Amino acid sequence: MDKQLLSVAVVGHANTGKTSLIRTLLRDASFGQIADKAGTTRHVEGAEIRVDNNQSLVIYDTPGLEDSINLLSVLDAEPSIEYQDGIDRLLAFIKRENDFPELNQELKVLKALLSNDILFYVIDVREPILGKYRDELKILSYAAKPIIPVLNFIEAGQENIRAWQTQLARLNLHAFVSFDSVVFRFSDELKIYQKMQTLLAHREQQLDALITQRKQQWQERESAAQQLIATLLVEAAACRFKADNNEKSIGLASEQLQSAIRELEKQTLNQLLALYQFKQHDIDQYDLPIQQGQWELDLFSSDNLQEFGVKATSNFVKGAGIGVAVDLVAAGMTLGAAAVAGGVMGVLWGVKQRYYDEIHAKVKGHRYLCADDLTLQVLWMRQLSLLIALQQRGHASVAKMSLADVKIDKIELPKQWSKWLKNARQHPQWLISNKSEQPLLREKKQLLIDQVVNSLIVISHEKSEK
Amino acid sequence: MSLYQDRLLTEGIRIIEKNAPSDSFNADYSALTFQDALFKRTQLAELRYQTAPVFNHLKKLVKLFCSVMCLFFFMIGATSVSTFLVSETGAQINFFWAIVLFIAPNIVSLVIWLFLYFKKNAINNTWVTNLSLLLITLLDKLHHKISNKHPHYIALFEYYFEHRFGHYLGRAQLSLISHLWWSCYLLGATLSLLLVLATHQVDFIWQTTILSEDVFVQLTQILTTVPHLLGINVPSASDVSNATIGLTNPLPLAQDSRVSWSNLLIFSLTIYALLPRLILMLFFQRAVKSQQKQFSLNLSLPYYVQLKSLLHPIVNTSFISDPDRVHNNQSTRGTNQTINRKGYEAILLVPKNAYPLAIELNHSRFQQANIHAAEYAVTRLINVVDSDSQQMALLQIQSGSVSNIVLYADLKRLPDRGWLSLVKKCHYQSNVQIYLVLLSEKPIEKNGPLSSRLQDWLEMAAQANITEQHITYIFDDLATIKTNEVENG
Repeated sequence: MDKQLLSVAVVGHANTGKTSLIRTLLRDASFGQIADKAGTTRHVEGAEIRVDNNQSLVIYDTPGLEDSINLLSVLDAEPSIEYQDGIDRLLAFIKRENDFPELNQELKVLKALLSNDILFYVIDVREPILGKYRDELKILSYAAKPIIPVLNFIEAGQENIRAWQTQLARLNLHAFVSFDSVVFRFSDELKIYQKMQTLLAHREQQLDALITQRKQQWQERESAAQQLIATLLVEAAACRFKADNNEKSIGLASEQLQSAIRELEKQTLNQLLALYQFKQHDIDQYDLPIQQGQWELDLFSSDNLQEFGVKATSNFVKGAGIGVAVDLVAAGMTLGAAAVAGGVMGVLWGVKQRYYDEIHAKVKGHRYLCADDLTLQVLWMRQLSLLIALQQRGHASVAKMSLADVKIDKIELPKQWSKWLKNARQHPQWLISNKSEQPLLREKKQLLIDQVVNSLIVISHEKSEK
Repeated sequence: MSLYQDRLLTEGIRIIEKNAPSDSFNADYSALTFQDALFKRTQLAELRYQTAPVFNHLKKLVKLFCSVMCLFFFMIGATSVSTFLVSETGAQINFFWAIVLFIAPNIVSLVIWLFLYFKKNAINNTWVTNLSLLLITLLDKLHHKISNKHPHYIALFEYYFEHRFGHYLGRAQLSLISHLWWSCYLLGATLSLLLVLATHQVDFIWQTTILSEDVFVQLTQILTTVPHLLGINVPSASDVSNATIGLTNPLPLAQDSRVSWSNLLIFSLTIYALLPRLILMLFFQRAVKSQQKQFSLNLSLPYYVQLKSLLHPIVNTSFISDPDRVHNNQSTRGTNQTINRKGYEAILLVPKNAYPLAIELNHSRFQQANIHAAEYAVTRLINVVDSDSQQMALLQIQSGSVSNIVLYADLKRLPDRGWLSLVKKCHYQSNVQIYLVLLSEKPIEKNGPLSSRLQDWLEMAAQANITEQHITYIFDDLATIKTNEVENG
């Protein structure tokens, strides 16, 4: 069966963010070239978004229409009587392409106009409305293709949006969409496809499939990110180190603890970056407080408290994050479950496996150190901030962004927060590096992770409703 | 290789790669569905990670452990007949022992199994897992001593154990093993009993203190119901009552009684105990196989979500459909050389009859240009924003034989080929001199965005043959205008 291709040409004036738009739609920061100069894109470059094995959306990036005034004057030089319609006018110009070497780039755009199903006319709304944009739209209208004006950079050009909308309406272009390839919103992307459905009614099913696929991919990615964050929280809370009851040993264990939690956070960070298709060198150009795969601001720095609005009430500010010493009571010692489960051997074995470490530590006068509540609170908030930043980050922007720009308002800790931490701390075996001999209880761990994920889903819904 | 094995290997590779799938297997997956691409990658990754030998080894270990236990239970069953059921002299069988050893525990264990089977998570908790794990580890060390050969042996071991006896397959698998071991025990007992009955002439008695004769008779009669209906010769109620110590029947009746008791015992063992266990064992064998066939990967795990975007990217690699032949993939244009910016800071000398022309100015910049042009120009300032205004301005320039043109441009805006094209058109005669005034609302800060934009303008002006001495910039501040005073030449 032949593949059904739906093709889009992304056109517009120079430096309006055509390549940026495509990068963001493709989630590919390596597509094309971006620079704050006119004429950065010099090829017509395409990329395919695969809907399924039989259907695809192909998006073509085109050079900017830098000299539309000249182009229009050439196109309109011949009297209308010579041509049946605008398409004839464009074809006649294409035939004479060698006569206009200075319009070589514009010629590529005209070819793209005629060979694609629909046009995205990208407008940088930060720019003032000039007559030459009307000229550009007049040229586009010669191709007789549906046009979706895409108002780009809406965050930075708020004050001009209304004027642009009015201007487009005067040109009978009502099906415009607002988009920001820097501050990305998934709902805006969906609106583009929905507008395409309106203008290409005969392709409705194909676009329906595309929308479904994009939504599914977005949800899968978000769900996977939530699982990673939940796993990090559970494992960080379960992380513990044994120390003798003296200052030196506690200091050493504290350092080991901090290092282990940093490593866990680093792993999660890299996985989140990979999940959202950001590479390390992509993120380096942003002002995210991440360098070489690590956060610039150390998790255990007291500055974190201010950054995330946490009140310092514990030894966190002493640079410790030492936290809780686990004793038998904190370990939640009960024999009930083991006794019910089986015979004497089973009970003894179960007790040995489950409580041996704690009992041994108690007898020998050792203590276990694990991350305290504040450390975990900051860890939690950092991951939430990062997730929001990654979700709102277009793959195009070269502008700097910092977590301070991420509007997360005040993140309330989930109600079950303390219960989660207590539960995780009772199960050191949930972190492999603890080398605990206790029963793995993977399902119980997964149950806790699921609870944390559910809480993240609630936070995500609240955020999207706002 | 079956689909189940393929999926198991994929999971094994996931365990090894943790949450970061490698994309170093450079195969082409584009024509495959995600599932097919995944298995192709599994085959490639398997060459590197070698998980199959570990899983096969673990499978053999579990099989060996189960077989050893089967043999053990078979022996227990077989020896229990001669040890407990038959008297020391080998002349009598205490029927009550048959109930205690085979029938009653079988029923009790079936009830416990039913409870555990239908109670969620009842058999996955705590010590069962670890005790089994320990036993298998010991067996492994004794049998093969390979536990340290594969770098991820322990992780794979844990996963495999969790997979076989955990949430997904655990209930069916443990049920199968439990019924298998009971079957072995009962089979051992049945075969041993047949052997005893075939080689000995025994009398059947019953001895018990805790049950009264009535209860025992009733219990036995319950057991005889089915064989009796099937026409099998079984002891009557009076036979049961008479089968106590010291009461012996006359010879012909005794032989008859022995046969009927033997029938009852063998029937009870095979039909009431062994057969249900065998049926359950076969049922769960099928259930395990069926669950193995239905075993699917949890593709919502972060590992698989990442793998999906690696193997089956929704976005295909970009391609160039209309290449730039002129610049051959060079994105930068112009001279690319750093222009000496000292020139533009000099005072701009503009001839008195110069023609002012604004290019794409917004309202405030146009005002700024107007103030500046008022100092020397006699014609009205035209703002070129579209084709019509451009043609009008060019017409005025050519018809007025203008030889000096002052172009006003917004410093903040990006110079493009359209601007260059207009400037070239303004050079309609070789003696035309063009001046460029760049307008800004703010002064240029060193290394700021305007500074970089100024560089773009200087590069573009160089392409338009506008020399640096003919370029200046003014910002929206009266004091600055004074310092950049225009001299009317």
